[in-house]
Amino acid sequence: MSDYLTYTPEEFATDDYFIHWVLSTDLEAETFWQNWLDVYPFKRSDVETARQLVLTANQLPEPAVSETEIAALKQSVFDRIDANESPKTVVRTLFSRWYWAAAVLAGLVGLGGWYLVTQQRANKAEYAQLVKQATEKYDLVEVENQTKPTRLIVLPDGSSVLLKKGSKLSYPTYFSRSVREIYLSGEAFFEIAKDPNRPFFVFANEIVTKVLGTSFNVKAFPDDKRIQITVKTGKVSVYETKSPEAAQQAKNRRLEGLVLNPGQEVVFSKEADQMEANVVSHTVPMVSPKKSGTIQEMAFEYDETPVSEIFSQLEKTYTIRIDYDHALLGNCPVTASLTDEPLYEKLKLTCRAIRAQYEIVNGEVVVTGKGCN
Amino acid sequence: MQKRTHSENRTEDDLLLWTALRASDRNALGKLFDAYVRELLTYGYRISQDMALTKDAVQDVFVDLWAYRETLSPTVEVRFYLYSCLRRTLLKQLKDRRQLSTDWAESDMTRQAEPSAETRWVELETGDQQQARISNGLQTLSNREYEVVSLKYYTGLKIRQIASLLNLKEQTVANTLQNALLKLRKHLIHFLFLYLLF
Repeated sequence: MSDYLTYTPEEFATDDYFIHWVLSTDLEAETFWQNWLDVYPFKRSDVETARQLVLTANQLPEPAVSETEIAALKQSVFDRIDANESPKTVVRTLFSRWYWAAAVLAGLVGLGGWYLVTQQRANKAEYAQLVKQATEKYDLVEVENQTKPTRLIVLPDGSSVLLKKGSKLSYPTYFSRSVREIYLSGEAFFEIAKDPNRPFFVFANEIVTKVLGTSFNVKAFPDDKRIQITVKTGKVSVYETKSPEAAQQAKNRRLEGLVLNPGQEVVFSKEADQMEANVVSHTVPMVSPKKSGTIQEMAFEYDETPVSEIFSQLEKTYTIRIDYDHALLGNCPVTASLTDEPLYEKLKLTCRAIRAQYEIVNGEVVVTGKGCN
Repeated sequence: MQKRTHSENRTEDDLLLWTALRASDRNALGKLFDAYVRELLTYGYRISQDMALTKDAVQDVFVDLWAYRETLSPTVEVRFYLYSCLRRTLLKQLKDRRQLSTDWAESDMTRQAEPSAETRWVELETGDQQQARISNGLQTLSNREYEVVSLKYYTGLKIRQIASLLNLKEQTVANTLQNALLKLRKHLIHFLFLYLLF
């Protein structure tokens, strides 16, 4: 800081800390500069000149723009975006791997909770009807998986979805402020971004599942007239699409109606258009920790586990590719509990544990780091 | 009216919004818009002297940001990124308009009345020292100096970023800034007593 002694007024006026002092009310800066002036009083005139320079330079004329003009400008931005995004374009974009490549990288903070929704395709009419109704509210995107065992989709809020073969998912191009609603036909596994202010609803034909950020399974087999929901952690509420509660549920942030706790399971029986619910409590967790199998059976619990094992598990689970220097990073040990974390969080937390970063390049996860000793 | 944004530390907020934007969160785009629209308008206006044009350019920047959200780099200095987009967009619009006005200039009477924004800009780009500013003590600054001063004291961008934005060497920016301040200082000497009154 003794450098300041040789400063010209112009040099002071371009020094970031000096500018900070002049333009802020930061006590620390104030103390520093006042003390400095006490020690070097002969610099006072230079400092004053510099101060005036900064003030002048900071007082360049600003155009007068009213709040109304700003609001109108913002509206036209979003109008143009809406106009650009005919649903067809969006769907086509989504089918390219770029979409999720870009989206996967969006490591939203505070994601949590995952659950499975299973629903056979028998009830097409209901799904189609729900989607049709939703089209009036939302600009919907539909993604269909006809070929792959699972297909990764990233929702606008950062939640990720593994859509099973022969399934369809419709969701808004962006979620509203108060609620996240999506529509499923078939089977999918969800990892929901935690957002207490925007409850997440899965409309799977007759049954709606509401979640604020938690873990549970939904299995719906219309063929045998049963829909089964099993809670893994946290709480969910479940109700019929057409029940009066449905409208009510959409408005509040609490979980009401049929609330399921961890280890609980509900079985709906469809008999003569009546849904009958039976709640069963299990004393043991439904899901035993495994490192293989389907994602809903899997645990992502690690204790001094080499990162190569974790990456390999993520690659298989999400059918993604993770590129990294095996020799440098592969043996780095990770201790972490990632079971309830969505993909982004798993990647983020794993990378943080080994002091690495990840990014998505050409649809692949690329992890870079300096290794661990 | 906000006078300055320099001391605001938006980096963390920005990156969160950026990440959300890249995941197609419209709210994030809205929030970035809210956070930056005023300073972008100010900057655009200062260099183009044309508010309608600036508004169009700012609009384009945010529309494009959304259109290309999937291909945006995950780590950027958001403020710097927005400024460079705006600058590029403005430049392009001015060139387009210039193209138009050479083709159909005859019909565009209003633009003949005073030095047009595109003239100013093109001269700015070609390093012309036209003195078009008529503001408090800043009329002695060249367009380039004016822009550098504006960026340095209004946006809080680093010299490195300003250099990159203007496609100049850092040293050139630093020199430009020093020259501008010397000019301002000469001007100040005459008026310093006015400041001392307050």
